[in-house]
Amino acid sequence: MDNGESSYRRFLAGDDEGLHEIICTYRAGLILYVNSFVQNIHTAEDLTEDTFAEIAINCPKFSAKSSFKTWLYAIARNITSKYLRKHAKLSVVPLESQEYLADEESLESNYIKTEQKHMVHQALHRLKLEYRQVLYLIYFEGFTNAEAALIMKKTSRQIETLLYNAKKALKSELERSGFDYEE
Amino acid sequence: MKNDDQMFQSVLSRRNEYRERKNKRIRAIRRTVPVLACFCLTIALGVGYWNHFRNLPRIPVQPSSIENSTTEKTDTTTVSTDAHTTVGSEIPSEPASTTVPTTHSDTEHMTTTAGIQTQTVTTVVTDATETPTTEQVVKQTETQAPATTPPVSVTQTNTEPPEITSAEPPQTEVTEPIPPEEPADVSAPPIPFADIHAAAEAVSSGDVSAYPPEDRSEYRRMFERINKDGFLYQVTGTNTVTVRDDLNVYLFPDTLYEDIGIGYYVTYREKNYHIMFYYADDVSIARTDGIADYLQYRLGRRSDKEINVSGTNVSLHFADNGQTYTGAFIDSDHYYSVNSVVSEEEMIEFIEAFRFEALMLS
Repeated sequence: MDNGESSYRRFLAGDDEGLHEIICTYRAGLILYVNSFVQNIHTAEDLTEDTFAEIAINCPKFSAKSSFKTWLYAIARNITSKYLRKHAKLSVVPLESQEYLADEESLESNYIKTEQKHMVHQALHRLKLEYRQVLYLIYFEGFTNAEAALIMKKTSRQIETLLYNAKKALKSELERSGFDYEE
Repeated sequence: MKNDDQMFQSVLSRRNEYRERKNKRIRAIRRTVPVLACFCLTIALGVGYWNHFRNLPRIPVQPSSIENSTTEKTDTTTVSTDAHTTVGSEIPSEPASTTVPTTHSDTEHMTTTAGIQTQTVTTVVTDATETPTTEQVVKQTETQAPATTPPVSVTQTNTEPPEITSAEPPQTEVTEPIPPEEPADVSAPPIPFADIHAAAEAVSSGDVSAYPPEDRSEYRRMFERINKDGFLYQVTGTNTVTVRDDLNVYLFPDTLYEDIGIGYYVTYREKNYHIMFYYADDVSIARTDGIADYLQYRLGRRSDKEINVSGTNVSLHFADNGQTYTGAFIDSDHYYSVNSVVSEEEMIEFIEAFRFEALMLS
């Protein structure tokens, strides 16, 4: 049961604790999801805070056409897209030269338990944005194809195709990095 | 990196800041909108009032010199014990039959002819029952200009019987005097003619070259109007109404407060009457209803009474100096005006008695 919806309804009714529950539940996942876009954990944190501020200030109506989590991730994606459009001329730092900060490392170490998962995560970062997104949403966040389609504003068919291609690309990356993939 | 609680507090503070900014905006709008609305309303009212008062019809003011001069005339124009002259409206005439009716137009025009500042008043001192033997001309000139122009028609000869009563401009009674310094109100003087036929001949010819250049346009306009109508009204003598052949017939160009007209002097039962036949102004006709309304609108003459004389609606006005004015439409484009120092009954009797006809122009 997605208790985000009930928490949000309580927040709309005036209970700020509902917002606290939402933040506690979805903060980490949102940061990592947004990080897949912006490739900067601090920016991802700010954008995640912007997402929570959006629902706290504007109190958008949740129509329950999808799960609350899907709805929240869609808001985060829109905010991140605006940010990326605004900062289109950001300097692109090659992934190989990117140094993971201690904070991200500690976040990932809490979230990713094994070395394998850590390698997979790094391989993910080397993928195309769309591949990265769809894999993250489906496998890390547990969204269904339909929910991922809603977040990414694509059809289910497109998500399926994307997912297939993303897995192929990840496989290539993992093999390149020496990952021993066992079928 | 922030933990959950820190992010929660940060989000809440942002929400509170937003709400505070929103409330401030609302308060500012609530303060500003009424002030702006009042300001705009004041501006709109001010503009409306300004436009309203700017478009009010201007009431011409007669020059104070006219009043002053008429006042002076009171002291000098009385010539004989038997005769009394009426000069201007401010001079009350004594109840004597010898008082000659005044022609307001004459004085007014003569004044303007003489370069505005000159006012010449020639009083006619006569007793209608006596043969006028003396002409006592009183010229009172108030010149603010160095030169004075003698009146056009009044002092032609010294042997001529007294001519031209001082005019009492109805405007002085019913409207404010016209300031002489306003060039728009200065009009050409009336043109004297020995008789109606001479006037008709001049009008038919349309030749204005003999007149001063500054007056020609007005005279031309007057001739054109009369020619357009095709006739001049003339008083036809009867057993009781006698046209004064010793006095000129005058053609009057239109002014701010008078239409184009032709004037005669007649005698009826030993009393002198001045008759004007006017060519009505189309615009004024359209804006008024009836003779009283028209006289008020066009001549500025108040109607004290309206009566029906032989099926014609006649307007009567009783001036403070004893003059009685009357006016009535002849047709849709013409009307007459009669004034004399007579009673209402005498005036009505005269209206019923006098006759006139149209002299067709060649």
